[in-house]
Amino acid sequence: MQRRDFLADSGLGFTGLAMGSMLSADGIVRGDHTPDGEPHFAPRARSIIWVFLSGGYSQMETFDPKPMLTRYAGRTYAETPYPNPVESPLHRQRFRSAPAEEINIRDVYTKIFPMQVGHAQHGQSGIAVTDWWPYLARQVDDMCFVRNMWTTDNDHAAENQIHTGRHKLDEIQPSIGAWAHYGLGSLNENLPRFVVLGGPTRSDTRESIDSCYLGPAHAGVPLKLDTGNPLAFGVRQSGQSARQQAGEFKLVAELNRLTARERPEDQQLAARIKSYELAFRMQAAVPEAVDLSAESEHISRLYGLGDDRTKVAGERLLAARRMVERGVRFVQVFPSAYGTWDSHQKLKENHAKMCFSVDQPVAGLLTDLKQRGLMEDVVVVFCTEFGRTPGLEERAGGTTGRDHHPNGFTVWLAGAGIKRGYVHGATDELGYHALGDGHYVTDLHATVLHLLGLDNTQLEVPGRKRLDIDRGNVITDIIS
Amino acid sequence: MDEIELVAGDQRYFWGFEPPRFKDGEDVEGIAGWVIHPQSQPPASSVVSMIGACESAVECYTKMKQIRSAMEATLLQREVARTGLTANTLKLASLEATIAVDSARRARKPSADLKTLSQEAYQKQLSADAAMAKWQVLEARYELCRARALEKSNEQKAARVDKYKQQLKAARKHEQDLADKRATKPESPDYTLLSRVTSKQSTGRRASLARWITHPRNPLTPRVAVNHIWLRHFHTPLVESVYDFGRNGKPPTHPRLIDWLAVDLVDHNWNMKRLHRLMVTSHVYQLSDQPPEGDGAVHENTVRDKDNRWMWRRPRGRMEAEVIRDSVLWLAGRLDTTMGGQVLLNTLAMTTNRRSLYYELYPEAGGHTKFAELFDPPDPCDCFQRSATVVPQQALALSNSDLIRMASAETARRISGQTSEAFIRNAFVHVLSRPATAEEVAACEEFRNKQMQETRDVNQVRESLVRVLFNHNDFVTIR
Repeated sequence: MQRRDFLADSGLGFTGLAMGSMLSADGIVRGDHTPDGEPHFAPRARSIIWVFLSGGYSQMETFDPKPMLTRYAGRTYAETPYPNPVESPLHRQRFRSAPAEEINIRDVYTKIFPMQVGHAQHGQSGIAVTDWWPYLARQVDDMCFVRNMWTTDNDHAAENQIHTGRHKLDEIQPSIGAWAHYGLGSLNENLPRFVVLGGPTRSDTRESIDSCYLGPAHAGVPLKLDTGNPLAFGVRQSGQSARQQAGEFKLVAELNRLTARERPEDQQLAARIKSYELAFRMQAAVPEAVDLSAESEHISRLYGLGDDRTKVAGERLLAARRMVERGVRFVQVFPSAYGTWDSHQKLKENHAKMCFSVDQPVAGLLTDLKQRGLMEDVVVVFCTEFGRTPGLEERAGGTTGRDHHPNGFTVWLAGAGIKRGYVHGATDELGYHALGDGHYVTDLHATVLHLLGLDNTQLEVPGRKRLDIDRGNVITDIIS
Repeated sequence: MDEIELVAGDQRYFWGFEPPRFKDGEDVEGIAGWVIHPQSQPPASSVVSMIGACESAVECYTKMKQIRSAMEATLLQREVARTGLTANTLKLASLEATIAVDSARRARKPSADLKTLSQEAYQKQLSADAAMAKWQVLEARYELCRARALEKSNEQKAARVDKYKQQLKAARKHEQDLADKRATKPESPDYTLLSRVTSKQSTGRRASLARWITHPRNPLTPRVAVNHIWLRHFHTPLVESVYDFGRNGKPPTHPRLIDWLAVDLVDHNWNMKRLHRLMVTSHVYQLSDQPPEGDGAVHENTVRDKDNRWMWRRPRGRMEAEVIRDSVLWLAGRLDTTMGGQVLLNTLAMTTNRRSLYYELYPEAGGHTKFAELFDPPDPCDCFQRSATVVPQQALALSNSDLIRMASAETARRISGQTSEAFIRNAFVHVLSRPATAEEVAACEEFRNKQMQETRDVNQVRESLVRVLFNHNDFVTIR
């Protein structure tokens, strides 16, 4: 065997993995193979459903209600008995922008805008959510809220930031789904390990599912939900037997491997070889996995498929359940289109409508996972890119909305290894700053990876520098 | 009740009443002398029913009204069509008159009879509008009759009756407004223009914007241009954030290079061709995509600059969606290279042979061809950077689509080769533009022998082989 062939093979995973990883530790072979597919320690969960709502939902009008906003409505922060959040040093510590001083002005809307919806405590745990979540309200005892999240970008590049952990001024990093894909082996060889439903939301938010230096083999695979055409070009032409096609795919793989020997560091090529292996098997598996008509009537009602307003989110979340049931590791679901939660104006109308569109479907997902015993295997993460200002956005004479707010927002998790009916962390009385250290977005990554049995500090590719901020800290308080 | 109608044989008797000064369902106390009788219970209502007592009579009456409405609708139908025809004929005449006067206005030499033409257009517009309004009234009446003819049990009846009542009211008002306008101003040159006539004298705002953008002392424009052109030749930009050159953007990897090229572009009168030539004749463009051959050892750059940020080798790229389709058609001898012409529906892209450039592309969902969608099509809302993903669906598009099936059969027919080895070698050159290695030939021979056991049809096996080459990484890769 030629030295060169040997090196290339180890990169593609056909020779001893141990040798491959030894060489990659020396920085000789590019680390485009998964470490060994095994978790670092006993996992609590085997799959993740990551639900992302684009545009930034208001923390106050969703899962972190703040009655003080209504009490002090119309007054400025300085006119309340609480410390003025605008003067807090937390601003400078957390906020980041190139011309920070200038852009920061954008956030300073000091006139308090009252709560736009009522709220009440629910369940045994007595956790308060707003009245726009009648379905989820019945499930709070199974959910765990993290109310002290923060991020550093106050514009919509934060959508990439919550997935990659980096501000847009920094170098691009792999997304959370790509890391999970990189770290863990497959549970179903016939389906992609990292599936994307309803996204990416735009061409410039592709980073949210992308794999960056891990190579395209670890990027999310978007699947479409189209009853008439479950998988584009998924049907073999008549006149060709499965064996004949298998033969063609085998030759493609063989020829590509010959080329790969010459180009061991070509990640596109390595990814293409892997994608052909999957493509052949996917032809049967994907149409079956996305066939929502196989679900019974009461299930489709549970997810709200009968109502046009909840149908899109319902279908994507139901498909997500079918994916994790079949062993997909990471399902990234975008129930709403790009920026649809962005309510600079008419927050009341926007959130009433948007909450309606996902409340029943997401609650349905939790119920469904529970009744199938999947809550022991799967974690649902529900998040957005940032919160919204407690102050009224007065830009362009606005009187009805809230601006972007990276200083404090709420996400929730539910499922395997997660405390039930629990609230972690808080924002101040006005919903402005995440109190204490709070959690930067990568803490969420570290937690999710931890549940999958992966130690984020050990996920490392030779020659690629990861900073402490990329690795985050596991939010141990929410682990059951 | 505001009307009574009796029908006896072919005779019709009709009484209309002055409408009451209150609305149905309104409390009428205090209106037009209505008072509450000591024995009655407010609120009162103006819904008067003469026959409310007898259920079968109510039923008959309702049925009768329903049938009458159905009859009236049938009679109206013809009237609606006839009025519609008249209205549209007049509308056409009015449009023709308007176009005539609009053109006369825009003519280099204004027409002398502009005023007469305008007055004529005005009058034709008036008659057309009146006829259209009459048509709308009739249509609303017709729809109302149809709604009233619906079975009482129909859930939508009430809503539809209400809707068309409103519509009829609005149409009548519109008709009346037009009649008033005609009465007050029967003649005028103030016809409604088809499109805005802009001043012949420009404000100069666009010109000054253009001058500002292209001013030799504005470095932004040429830098952005250079970055985009570089990206298209080298598959990787000099400034990573191609969409943002501001303070929120990324710094260039080669600041002096981008500046030099930008200055050169402006100095040579924005000659893009020169810029392209500079790039493709450069040393870096001609580098191999492979590390320089060493003595078997891994080249140090592979370790020091994995991402090739410093351009020590030529970056590889993947063909864009359009190039893949066009190349496949070209190899099959089917690509229609005619320049220019009609934009085509993108649903036709898989069955027709024009260059991909000519198929429509729009931002709404479904604005791409099904094939292009899998190979990272352009986003019509931006002109930034295409991604080059590798997803398994691409393999299926290059194996199962009708386009590939047709093209692999056609391409196989075009490749000569008496022996199977000759065919394999020619196929590599034809499809991948490079000779096959001995190992590749051996792998293909083995494939051929196995497939021959499956089909015994040599053409089918050759077709398979071509399809395999379409799926070869080298086919979609540019290096």
